[in-house]
Amino acid sequence: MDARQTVSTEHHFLHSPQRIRTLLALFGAPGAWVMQMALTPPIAAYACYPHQFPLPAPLWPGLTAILATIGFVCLAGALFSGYIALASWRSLARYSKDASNKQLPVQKDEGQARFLAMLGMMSSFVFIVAILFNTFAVLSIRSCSAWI
Amino acid sequence: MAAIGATRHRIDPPLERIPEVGRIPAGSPIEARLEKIWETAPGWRGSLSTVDHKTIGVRYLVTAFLFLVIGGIEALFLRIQLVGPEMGFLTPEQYNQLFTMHGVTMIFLYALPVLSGFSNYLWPLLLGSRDMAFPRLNALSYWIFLFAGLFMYISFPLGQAPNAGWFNYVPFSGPVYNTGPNIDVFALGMVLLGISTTVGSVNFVVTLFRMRAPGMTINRVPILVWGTLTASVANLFAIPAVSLAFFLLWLDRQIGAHFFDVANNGQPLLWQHLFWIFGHPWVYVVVLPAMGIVSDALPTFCRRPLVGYTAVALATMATMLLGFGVWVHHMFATGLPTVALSIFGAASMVISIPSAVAVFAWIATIWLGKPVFKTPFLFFAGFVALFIIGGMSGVMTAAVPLDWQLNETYFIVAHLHYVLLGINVFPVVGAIYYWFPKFTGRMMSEKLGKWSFWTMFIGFNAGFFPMHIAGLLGMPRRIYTYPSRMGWDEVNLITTVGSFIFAVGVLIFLVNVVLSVKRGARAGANPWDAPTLEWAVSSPPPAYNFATIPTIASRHPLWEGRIEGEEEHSRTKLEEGYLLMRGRETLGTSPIDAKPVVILKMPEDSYTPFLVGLFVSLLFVGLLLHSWTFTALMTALSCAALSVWMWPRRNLGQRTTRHDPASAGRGGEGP
Repeated sequence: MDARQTVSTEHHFLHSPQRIRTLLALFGAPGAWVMQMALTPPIAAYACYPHQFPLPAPLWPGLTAILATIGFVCLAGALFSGYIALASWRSLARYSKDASNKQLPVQKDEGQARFLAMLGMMSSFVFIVAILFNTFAVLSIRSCSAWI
Repeated sequence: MAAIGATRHRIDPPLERIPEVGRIPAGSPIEARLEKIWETAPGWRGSLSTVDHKTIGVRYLVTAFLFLVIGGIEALFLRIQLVGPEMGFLTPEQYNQLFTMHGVTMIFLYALPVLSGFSNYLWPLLLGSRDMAFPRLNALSYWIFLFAGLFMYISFPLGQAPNAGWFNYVPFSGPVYNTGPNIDVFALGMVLLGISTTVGSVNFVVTLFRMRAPGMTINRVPILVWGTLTASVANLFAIPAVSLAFFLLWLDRQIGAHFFDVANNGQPLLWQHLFWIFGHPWVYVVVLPAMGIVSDALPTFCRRPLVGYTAVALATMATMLLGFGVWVHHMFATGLPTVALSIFGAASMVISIPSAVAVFAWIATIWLGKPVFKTPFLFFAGFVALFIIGGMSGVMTAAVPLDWQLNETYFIVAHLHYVLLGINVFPVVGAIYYWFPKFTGRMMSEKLGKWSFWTMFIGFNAGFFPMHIAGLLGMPRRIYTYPSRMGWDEVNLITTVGSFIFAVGVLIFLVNVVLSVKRGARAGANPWDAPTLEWAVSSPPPAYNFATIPTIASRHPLWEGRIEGEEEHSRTKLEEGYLLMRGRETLGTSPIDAKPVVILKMPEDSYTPFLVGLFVSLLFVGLLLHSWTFTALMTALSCAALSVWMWPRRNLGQRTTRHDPASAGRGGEGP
């Protein structure tokens, strides 16, 4: 080690392409859910209650279609994130298997990549379910009806 | 600042030195020197100036427990009033002030601060560090919390305490219907408390990503740390909403603004949105670290690692994020569009998934382990049972039609007490029993411990389960009395008896604490044979925590070699590590993989956090009293104290401006 003023760059264990995949796997589905929550209730609220009084029907006739489209786009994003998470996990599992069979160098990341890939899969699963729940909620309720 | 690691590229300005690796024998002169560097001065000077995370942690715990006792006594007064119909023990106004202060005290002055106490004390020990990232900010956080608590009680003896419920709905809390100082005290006190919570949260976030011992990669972080980290990140998003809400309300009340005044095109519903967009995440803020306590401590008594570490870590984070999308379930009865209601209802149900994952992980840990029925285990197991009951009633109220039936009834009171006592108080008391030996060097009495658990558990369920029935029978919450013909007499009588039994349990616990501090059996470094890092140091820990910075090789550093399936070659190094003793120094590591990157120069003790806290709190007193000159003076003094605090000092510089060849490349502080 150089005694002079240096720092290590080896701690950047996630190199660029892998880092992007990991971040997408971890935060893609939650981000899609946040997007759906940030768009759907305010749009629905404005369409049904734009000023001082609630409306019997939405301002825009296609409100349900708009909200469903948002839901499906977010669901697609979350599913893509889940796919990336699953692919990362499988790739790491394959590498571990190959490493043990062919005596390749063992990954020296102390299991972090596997941990993050597993987190990504779990996170994608939870938020795909959350988006599905929200989308069903949009499709099964008349937009501005009273709850009776 | 030191260079540690492989040579890749130059940093400018230059770094100072590379620390040596070595050992510091216990009782050696070098250890004495280290103790001298980190110790706090005795007497009142040290009390006011200390920035030791352990002292601050204990102060948080003691202060929060004092508030718990005060809030509990208020609750007992409420229960005496409700023990039978048509009681006249309290007037309606006294009842309003007592139930408001009970809620404010328990939710804001006990539930989070007590968890901050554990985290402040334990984080550096769990992470293998010598202190929190910002020790002075840590001290400031405590002082402002203390002053905010005192501030919120300032009008209580005068009969002018906050009286509009802990969520303080407008228009009742507005200037038209609430003309006294009651709400102003609450509003300003909450803004003040928000400062404490915010700075504390920043400290936790930075500490996790900067202060972990080498080798404590992101997949080896204890669940308590995940819980507090998640709660802290949430605080940074949630606190601004409630601080803004209370500040706007204060402007409405004192400056004549109309943010919530419907007669002047204000929006009363804006209050509910701002409050609950903070309030529901806050519920998770006050339970997730407690869940982390159980996840870390329960395995000790099950003699096996937590089942599903990754799943529980994910469940913690997912719960918090989902917690930001459920606030409208507190507003189902406000006339919002049905699509919005159904979406928030759906999100409120989804949140049960990660919660259930954690519950199944705890049950599996108990099931697959060999439980040792010590007092902490009883509290943690009791917590799991109460969590399930509180969670189930939560899922019920996530359904909009059922919520409409149960809204504003005692069913909701039962639910929130199962959540807040079940998921906060039980783990906290269990955690005190668990970490008391570490805090004090003495064990608590097992006999009194078991008495306290069973008394609290029976009293709690006798007191709060009947509230579900009272709610289903239609008893509204926040009523100061009720007529006898409603059919609520028996459930209220049982509730009151149960609440007193619960109080006796808490009293037994407090007696146990007092007796054990003086007369408890001496505890060794690791009396429970626990796996985590805090048990590697003596009880109580030395001022510097770790003589050398340890290198971590697994999730259970003290159980290595015992756990089936763990890598055989990996061994944590506790005795040998980086030697850092040129002043208060600790190691800074990289955020994800915890590689050492820098020696952090930590500040010494200082009066400035206390003074800043004091002057800022007095500034709020000035606002309350409309004393603008005094307010301006306190603002100036706060700025002056901050300037002293922040004044640049060469010995705290993280980089040197000139290269010293004599020191470069050698530690110089080796034994």
